[in-house]
Amino acid sequence: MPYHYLLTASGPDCPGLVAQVTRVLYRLGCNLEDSSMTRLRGEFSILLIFSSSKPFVLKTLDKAFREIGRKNLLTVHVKLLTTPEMKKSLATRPLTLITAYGTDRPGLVYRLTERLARSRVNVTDVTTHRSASRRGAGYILILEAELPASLTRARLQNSLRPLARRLGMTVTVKPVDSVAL
Amino acid sequence: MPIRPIRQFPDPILKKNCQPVVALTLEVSRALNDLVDTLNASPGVGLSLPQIGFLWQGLAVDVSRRKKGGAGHGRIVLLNPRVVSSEGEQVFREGCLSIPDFLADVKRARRVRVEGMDVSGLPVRWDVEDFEAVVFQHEIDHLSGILFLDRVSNAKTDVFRRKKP
Repeated sequence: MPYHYLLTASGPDCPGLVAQVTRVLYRLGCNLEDSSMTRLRGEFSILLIFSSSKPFVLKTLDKAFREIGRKNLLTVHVKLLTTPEMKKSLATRPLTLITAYGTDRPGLVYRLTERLARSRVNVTDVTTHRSASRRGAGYILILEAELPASLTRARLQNSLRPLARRLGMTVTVKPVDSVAL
Repeated sequence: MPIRPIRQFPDPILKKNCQPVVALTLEVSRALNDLVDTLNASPGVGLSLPQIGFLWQGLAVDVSRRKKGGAGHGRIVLLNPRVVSSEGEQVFREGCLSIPDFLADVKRARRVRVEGMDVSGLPVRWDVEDFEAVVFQHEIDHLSGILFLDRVSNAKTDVFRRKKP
């Protein structure tokens, strides 16, 4: 039964960060599982699950990453994932895509996600973009979420309508298109 | 004829429904001339009247302006356009002159038949396919306040920030 760990790392972007982090894992004999890595403006961030057939003392892992952390100004953190945490990561219901866009104003993300939380909608992925033009700043939110079994997409769309009107946003709710490859 | 500024997100005009053109007045003709001039001065292959500030149902498409777009039917200016039939599907990575920062993979029909009125007021029908069909569907969406962001169906695979030149 493999042991699973979650690594998070962030810092100023530069070429070779992914290679440096994954080289440490390779040398430790670990396997990369799921990961999400992205650059926001000049900052690079990694969220990565890896596994190992043998347990590590967390201090050993911290030590292994210390050097590349210091060299690249990366903040690295590793934690052990429990079996229930790993099982939880598997999606249990089809995902729903919620798109919202309109003029940027304070509190958009908070108000929308707070409304979703009240409906027990579990947000699993958030991407936001701020876009400035001559007309002002626009904000685009793209969320993926799991809906509770009792809530249909049509009902959620209807319940979000008054909030969307108040915020001056276009909000749509639809199934996530999955592609079989 | 003036080249008009292209309205950009979050300009509220982009979310409005456009009115059908009932008479080819001087105002409408001028707006259409401006539409073509603005399209020609832009890097795009299609433009709709609301994107230059007019709430009438009108668009201009010219896929021959894009190297890889093929000749298509050349420049088409169409009023009150509507898709009367469609078949097949295709996914194309679209951008929009009104949302310059983003690209998105959008699923649309591969072939569409579009009917409308030409600049002399005569009814016309166009059968378009592939890239030209994408451009028509994209521009016709603008006339109902629909942006390509409304057509995104997967957060992880569909939306991309356009690379800065």
